[in-house]
Amino acid sequence: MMGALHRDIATIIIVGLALVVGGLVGTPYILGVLIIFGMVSILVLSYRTITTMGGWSFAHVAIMGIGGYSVAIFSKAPFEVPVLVAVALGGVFAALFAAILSWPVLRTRQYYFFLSTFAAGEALRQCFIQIKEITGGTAGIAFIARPGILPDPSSAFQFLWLVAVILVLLGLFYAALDASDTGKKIKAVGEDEALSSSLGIDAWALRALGFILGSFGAGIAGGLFASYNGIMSPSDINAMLMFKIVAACVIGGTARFSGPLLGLLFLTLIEEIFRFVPEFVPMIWGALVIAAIILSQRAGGGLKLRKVINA
Amino acid sequence: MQIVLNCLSLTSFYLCFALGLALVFGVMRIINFAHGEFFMIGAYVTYFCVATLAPQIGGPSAWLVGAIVAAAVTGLLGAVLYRAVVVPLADKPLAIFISTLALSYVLQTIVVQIFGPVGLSISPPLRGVVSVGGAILPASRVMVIVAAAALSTGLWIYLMRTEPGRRIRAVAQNPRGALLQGIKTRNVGNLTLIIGSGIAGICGASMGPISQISPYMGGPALWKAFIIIIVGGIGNVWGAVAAAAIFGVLDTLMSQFGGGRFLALTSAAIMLFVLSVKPSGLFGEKE
Amino acid sequence: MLEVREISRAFGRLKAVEGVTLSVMKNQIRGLIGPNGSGKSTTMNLISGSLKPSAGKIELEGQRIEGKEPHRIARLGLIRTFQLTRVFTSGTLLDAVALGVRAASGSPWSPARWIPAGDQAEVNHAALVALERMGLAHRANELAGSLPGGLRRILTIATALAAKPKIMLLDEPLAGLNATEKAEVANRIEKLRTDDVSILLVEHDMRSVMRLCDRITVLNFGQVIAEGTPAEIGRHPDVIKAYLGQKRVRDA
Repeated sequence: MMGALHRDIATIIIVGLALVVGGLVGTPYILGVLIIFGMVSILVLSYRTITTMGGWSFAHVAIMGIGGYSVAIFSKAPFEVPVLVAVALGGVFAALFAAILSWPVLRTRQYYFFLSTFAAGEALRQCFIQIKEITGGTAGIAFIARPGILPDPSSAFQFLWLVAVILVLLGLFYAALDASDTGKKIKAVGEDEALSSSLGIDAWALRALGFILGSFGAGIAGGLFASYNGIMSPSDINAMLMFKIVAACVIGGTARFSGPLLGLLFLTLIEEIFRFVPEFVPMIWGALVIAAIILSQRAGGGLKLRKVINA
Repeated sequence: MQIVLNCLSLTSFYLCFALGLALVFGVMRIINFAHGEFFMIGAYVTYFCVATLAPQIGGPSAWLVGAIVAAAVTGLLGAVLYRAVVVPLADKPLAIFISTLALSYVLQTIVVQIFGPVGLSISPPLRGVVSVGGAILPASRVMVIVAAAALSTGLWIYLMRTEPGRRIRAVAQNPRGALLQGIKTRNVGNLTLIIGSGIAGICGASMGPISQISPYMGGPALWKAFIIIIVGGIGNVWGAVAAAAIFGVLDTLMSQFGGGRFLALTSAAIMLFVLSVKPSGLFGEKE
Repeated sequence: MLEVREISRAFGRLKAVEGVTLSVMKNQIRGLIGPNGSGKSTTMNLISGSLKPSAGKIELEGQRIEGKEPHRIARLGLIRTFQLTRVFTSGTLLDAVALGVRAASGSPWSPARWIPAGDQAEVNHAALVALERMGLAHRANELAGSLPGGLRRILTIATALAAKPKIMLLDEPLAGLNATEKAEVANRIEKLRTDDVSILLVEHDMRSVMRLCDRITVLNFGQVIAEGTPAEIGRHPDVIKAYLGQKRVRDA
């Protein structure tokens, strides 16, 4: 199994390097695309960790919002915490929220889990809209600073560097988790919960842990998003981003660490190829995603790789 | 009295919308994310029919034609969805789920391209007000209540009294058993998706005239419907009825007494509470 | 070892298990038999914690376990297998059994367990030993998913064995095997006893039950109708009656 770990480590380092090199040679537009790609990569990698425990959450983007608002709030007066510390705090708050949320939603499985996390995520978004006093309502919170640790906070290239470094660090963490004793048990629970608990694995704890550690990454990504955009508002928590994450995992498959990253690459390419007709992007995207899902499922890739092997 | 009627009208809308979703889930264990867009398309089809036909044949008949065409169009979409997505992805519920989500973006874009992203309103087919026991209700609202009641009753009679309805129930209860009895589950699945989608279309036709229609109207409605069917117990039609009534009354009262701001939060809190206490929903059985 | 006293459980009005008492001594193989629907599976689920008994008590080495969560009971040394073959199929046989070895180790909340530890070699060794005991060591590196049904069933026992049980609940381990496989697995089960594992065996294959078990408990309609050595059970009038009824149903 060390083989798989080495491969995953190599994958994540190559992605990180590719981002930086791409930013070095690319136009400002490409730089922007790469930064977004890096941040969404954090989202899909952390999301994959959640799926390994057997549940496909639809609250990931809303939980990302916790990270975004943490940075928006704590980097400003009266707290004035350094932005990177606020990003880390955002990860912790996201994880804490996931821990609380696991009490109701982890009782549900399969369809119920999609739906209950979907509804919980929407409830969280509503909180961001309605608790105006703290979150600024629909307008959100503007003028969020870039990390002061960067020599030139306004440089997009330097921000890309930061994203790449955080992506690699988090990627290494998730890769290590995947190969660890705990990660193996999380996957075992995802594969067969009853069998796992019959052997003495604490299924509840491991599902919760997968959800919490995955949500931590979402919080970090959210903090980076807020800092990069300079504004955090409820419209950043959109269904389209959630859809992108889930579609990346479905198309690329979650059995391997690199799967969701490949899926995301595919989706990003489509988006960029058709960017001259932006009003049609959702449609083309949707149609190609349906086609890709049908093809990848037929080819046995993606979700049900295991079932195909069994048959 | 006014409040009671408002409750009734909201309940009937919730019910109408959630029923199709609950039916499709109950029979096929599929959650159709495009249900909200079917609803939206139903509203737009009605808008189109009313706008073009009303001058010739009058508002009410134009609306009726609109509702029928809406049901036909969304029913057809249901059939296409079944052939193109559900059949190739059989037994992969998550892949189907994501595909229907993708479909919802496709449909949204198409509607935006045809009608524009700005909200429109359908001129109410019935003007004037109806007064019931001292309360005043716009005639269009009464129409929604009547349409939803008719639809629910019609569905109930169809499921309970007709042969295809019996087959649908058999598949919902026990797919394998139904297969052994010689019921073609494929046909039943197709039929169910057509009916469920058609209901969404009619629902759009009924709701269209009393609220603004927009390409993005499907999302919030779908969210509420999810909460209703979770609280009621997924796939349980009676549970959906009860939950629709609970939220219909609760939401009306909350908006009436100034709690509208926390409506969505309250709904979600109720859902999470129900899940914590009884994960299978108030009326659901353990899977 | 395992003492089950007067446990009951009803589903609605149906009394699936009523006042069942049985015990498994150290290094004993206790058979639990009965016609279909007699409450065997429910009894297994009650003991292993998948279901909670509405009355009665269950003791494992003097410790009360009734109503505890399944993984806690498993960690106390009671490991069950399932009637429908359940086995981890995403990796090799060795991976699947290694999960059994790892199952009871440590708390998942400790961050030290979130990174790969250097214990892989030990875990693999323990897994290999368990595979060896069930005669699957030579296929250790094959994909578990590609294993034929009969061997997959044996793999479930190997996985359970890797979790270091003091007592195993085997739920129809021979079902679906052909005659040679049956004899093979029966031999392996018999050997487990000499390796200090007590066994509660639910099985339909009468010949194997008679051969393997030290004592047998017979259930019908959720109640114990007979208890004794295989020879005693073989000539017990109630048992013969219960099974004749079953035969007729089966032949029809």
